Amino acid sequence: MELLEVKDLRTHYLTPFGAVKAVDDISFKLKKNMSLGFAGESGCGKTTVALSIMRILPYPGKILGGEVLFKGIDILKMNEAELRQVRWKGISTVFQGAMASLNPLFKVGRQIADPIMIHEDVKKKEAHSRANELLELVGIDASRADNYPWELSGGMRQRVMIAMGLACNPDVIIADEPTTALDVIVAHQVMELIKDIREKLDLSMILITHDISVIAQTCDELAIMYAGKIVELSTVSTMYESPLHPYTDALISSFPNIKEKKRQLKSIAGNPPDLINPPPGCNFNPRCTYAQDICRSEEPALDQIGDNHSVACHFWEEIVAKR
Amino acid sequence: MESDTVVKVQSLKKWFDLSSGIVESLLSRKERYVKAVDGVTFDIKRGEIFGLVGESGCGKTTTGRLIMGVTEPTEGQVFFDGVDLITIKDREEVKKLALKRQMFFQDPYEYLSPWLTVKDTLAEPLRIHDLVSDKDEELEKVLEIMETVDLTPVEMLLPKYSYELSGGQRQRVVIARALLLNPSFIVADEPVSMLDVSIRVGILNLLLDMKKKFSITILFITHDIAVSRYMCDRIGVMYLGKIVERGPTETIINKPLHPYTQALLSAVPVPDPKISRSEIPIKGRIPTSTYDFPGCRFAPRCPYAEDHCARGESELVEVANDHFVACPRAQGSA
Repeated sequence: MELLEVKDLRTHYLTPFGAVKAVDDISFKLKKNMSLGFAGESGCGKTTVALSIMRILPYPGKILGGEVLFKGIDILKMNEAELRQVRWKGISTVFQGAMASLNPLFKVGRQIADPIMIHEDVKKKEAHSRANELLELVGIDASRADNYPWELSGGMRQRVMIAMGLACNPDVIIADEPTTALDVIVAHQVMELIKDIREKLDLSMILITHDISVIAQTCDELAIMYAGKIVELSTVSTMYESPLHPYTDALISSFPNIKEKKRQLKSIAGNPPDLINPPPGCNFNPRCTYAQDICRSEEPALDQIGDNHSVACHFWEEIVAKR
Repeated sequence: MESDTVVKVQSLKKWFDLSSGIVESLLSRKERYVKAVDGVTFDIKRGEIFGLVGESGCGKTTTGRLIMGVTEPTEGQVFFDGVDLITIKDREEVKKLALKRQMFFQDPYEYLSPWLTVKDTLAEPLRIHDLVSDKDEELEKVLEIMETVDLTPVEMLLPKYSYELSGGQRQRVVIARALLLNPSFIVADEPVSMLDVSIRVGILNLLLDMKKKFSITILFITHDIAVSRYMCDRIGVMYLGKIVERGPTETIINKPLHPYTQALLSAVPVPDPKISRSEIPIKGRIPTSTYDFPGCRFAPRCPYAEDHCARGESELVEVANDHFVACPRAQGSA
């Protein structure tokens, strides 16, 4: 049994203009102690995946189908009380924009202690001492527990968010763009911290980011999302050695790499599709250089083509042969 | 005759006064300033892209604004084509020089009026500066520039409002508007940091094309040293209002001498799982810029700091051809 398994998840935003197909038939597994990265451009549905797993979708988002199995039990069928057992203790989240996620009116120590008191049967004093330990764990002096969020720097706030995510010893942590708003050096420190803590606490992780280089440095597996679908799923090293989907290839080659020789970067022509009226066939076909008639009529399925490697493209074999 | 240097910046300073009012300024003896830019010197050669790289708050945007003349410096000089922009008085000359310099910013949405269509947005500067004689010529120029920056299909985009455009298209409108006035110099302040990766490269390549095609000189401001390497001929790395290292981009990327540049480079995530990043030796975070530094600003975080670092401020010294670094230790090892 996998720790977390998502099967055919479909989440749409039911707007007055039509249904925005933000997540459309997505399946993946998260094994214990593994980390899975979701990469894609803004609007590709990667955050919606996280929100659906936690069942905290904003209006007018609606989960229309699929299963989210956490330790074999479907989260989507749980009632509020059961759900409360999963949130924080089973799966917890670290969102981007720590300032927006922390309450400016409460001291950070209390904000970490609160979920501990609610979810575990402990006294206030013990919860607060746990909060102090967590702050030390993320590299903040315990004396800062008495600070308000606005008295901390951006990097420290993000560390507080991570401490909160760890408050109830979860099995899985979902980190949604945890370093996006931070400067490079601070971002690097926060990512290293997440890596260390995962090793220490045997934590499984889903990391959501637009920056595939962050995933390259931290994750075991990588799912590339495009327009509400996973187009390629594999281990990070396989994906970098032989990206099969044209979008993955384009995405990887549009990142400048400071460690290798300077090369011409290629852009991807066009824009991501409108998810209310996605193009018929493969969602990527209007921007794809390999597109042929079949791509415009038939949607490719995410086929398993090797150990731990799946791709949704009609022509992946030909693309490989051309290399 | 045109000289080789388009922009020359000398000991430029911009301190923002923090004393909050007349009462405080009367009562407190000590004046508080944010030293956003604190003695910056560099020049930009004709036809090159010069990059200012640094983390948020290092003063790179303020430096760009000072060169544009939209912010008054506290001290120092800015020369544009040999003319001192700070002391110049002649209004006609000011206007002429202003036309030659254009700037665009991170968030194109903020700089486009939601009330104007693409056509009007682009036609407006032409009208204001009397660059066209009639409507036909105006439209012709607008169409021409739209083709140049690849805002196509032109007919479809002309009547659109900025909120109807995608992020990449918006940034192209901003670039087109700047190019319409035939500037010889452009300040591009984080032009791609709001854009998605697949769109980002398109804009970067467009800027590189424009530089070649119109031989425009560009000051490229970015927090992303990997992007600066793709774009710039030379860069200056800024830390707390000062340039700590300056020189040809490849030299600095391959042989960074200042400990801060080294830290910045090892923090860049590399899109390749085979390469593991080296540890960043520096600790702590950027202090607030109100802090008064007797010595090197980087000393409190520097792994190699010695006693003398906290005393004298280190100045930029040329250690190799056109490679300047403000660190005595690095100067010795070069």
